[in-house]
Amino acid sequence: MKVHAERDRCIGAGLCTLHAPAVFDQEDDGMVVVLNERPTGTDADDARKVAEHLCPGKAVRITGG
Amino acid sequence: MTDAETKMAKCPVAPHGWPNPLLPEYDQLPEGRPLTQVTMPSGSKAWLVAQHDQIQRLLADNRFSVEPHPTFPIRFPAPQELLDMIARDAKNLLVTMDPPRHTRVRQMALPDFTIKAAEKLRPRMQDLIDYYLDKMEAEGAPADLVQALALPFPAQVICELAGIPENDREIFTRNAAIMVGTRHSYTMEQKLAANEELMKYFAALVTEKQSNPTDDMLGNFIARAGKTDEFDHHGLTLMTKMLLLAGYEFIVNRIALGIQALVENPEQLAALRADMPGLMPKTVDEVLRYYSLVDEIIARVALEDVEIDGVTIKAGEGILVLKGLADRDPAKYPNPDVFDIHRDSRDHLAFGYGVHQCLGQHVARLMLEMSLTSLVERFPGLRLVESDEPIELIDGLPPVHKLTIGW
Repeated sequence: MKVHAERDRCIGAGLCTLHAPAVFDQEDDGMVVVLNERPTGTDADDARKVAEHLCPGKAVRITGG
Repeated sequence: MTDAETKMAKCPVAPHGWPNPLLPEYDQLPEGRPLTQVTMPSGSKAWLVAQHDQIQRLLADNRFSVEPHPTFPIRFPAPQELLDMIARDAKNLLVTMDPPRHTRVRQMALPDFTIKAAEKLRPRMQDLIDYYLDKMEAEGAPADLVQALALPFPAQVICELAGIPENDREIFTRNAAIMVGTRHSYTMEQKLAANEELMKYFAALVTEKQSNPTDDMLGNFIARAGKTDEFDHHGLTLMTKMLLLAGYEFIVNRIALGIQALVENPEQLAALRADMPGLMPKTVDEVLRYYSLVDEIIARVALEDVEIDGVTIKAGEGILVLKGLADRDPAKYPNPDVFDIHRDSRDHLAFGYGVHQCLGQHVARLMLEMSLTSLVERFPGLRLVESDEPIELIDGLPPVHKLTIGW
């Protein structure tokens, strides 16, 4: 799997950073940055949860299995 | 119009039968909670949305607007004068702006509401909690948790965040407590008077911070806004009121309700005590999910035809989002009426969803987490004390005006 985040869609809610801190960070202006594009294990599960249900701006996408 | 439709048309309002989440009107929603059309008091059509997944889709859809619109679903019959005032003020409030302006204004506030910004408040928050709990303990049990901690602690945090000078904090705390309805004895006249005094104070505060910039959330917001032409002085005053009051009642009540839920579920409280680092984040989300039911309705109006699950919401029709009910959607959360700190409640809708999701959620979350942690750690014998005064909710708002505890 690969994690993508679009700054343009990001609203800075920070739920990605809160719930998958090994994969995402929130920059000082609030916007998302991906720390690990290819997480594994529980980090991958959390990233998937962010993409599917948590990110309110729909700024996070997962591609690949 | 059917009887059911007539009844719902009168009252798609928040549930107030606490602790039973559901009004009889909600019980009339069809099985499975499909989109259900109701007629608003104004005569326009709106759709009730109570399914968790539908709400997530609709609130993330920019074809729905929060801005004033002739058919926006307003659920009370309001005189034109009031509607005009709401529409005028709406131009200046983050919560009633659509993108792209919403995006610009939200970004002016965002740097002071990130997780890292909230975390910087942690040591000071702990000092404040310790101060209020020391005082409560010294005065002896039983104590009213609302007056002892849930009310003054968030008020103090908000004042410090906003850089409200110490001598002025009484003006904020006294009027904010009246406005957010944490006591049931205030009349509408008292609330309007409190609003007037706060607006007068905030207007002066904005002027002061424009002349003498301060490095705090409000000072930073006013400074950033000053570099644009987004707001006039009145607009900044309204935004100040929104930024400072928006989460106040929410957090006061979640502190009290969270403790109540834990004490009423002693086996879960014991599990939490045995593994605070592991279970506290889940506990916080479960409190937020479980008490999302103290529902304020989120409304939007469709700007164009939108199809969802085979139903077409037509341009001009509204949606009323019953997020409290959705956070008890059995399709999403098995046994939803059971408070369970072991479940994964992270995708609750307590802070809303979509671009308007609560700006202050990390500050709120931290206040809740730290209050619950301190109370649970410090008082092994924490319990509720029977009170003659029933807990009641007024007009669908969730003011827990009193919660008597012993320890």
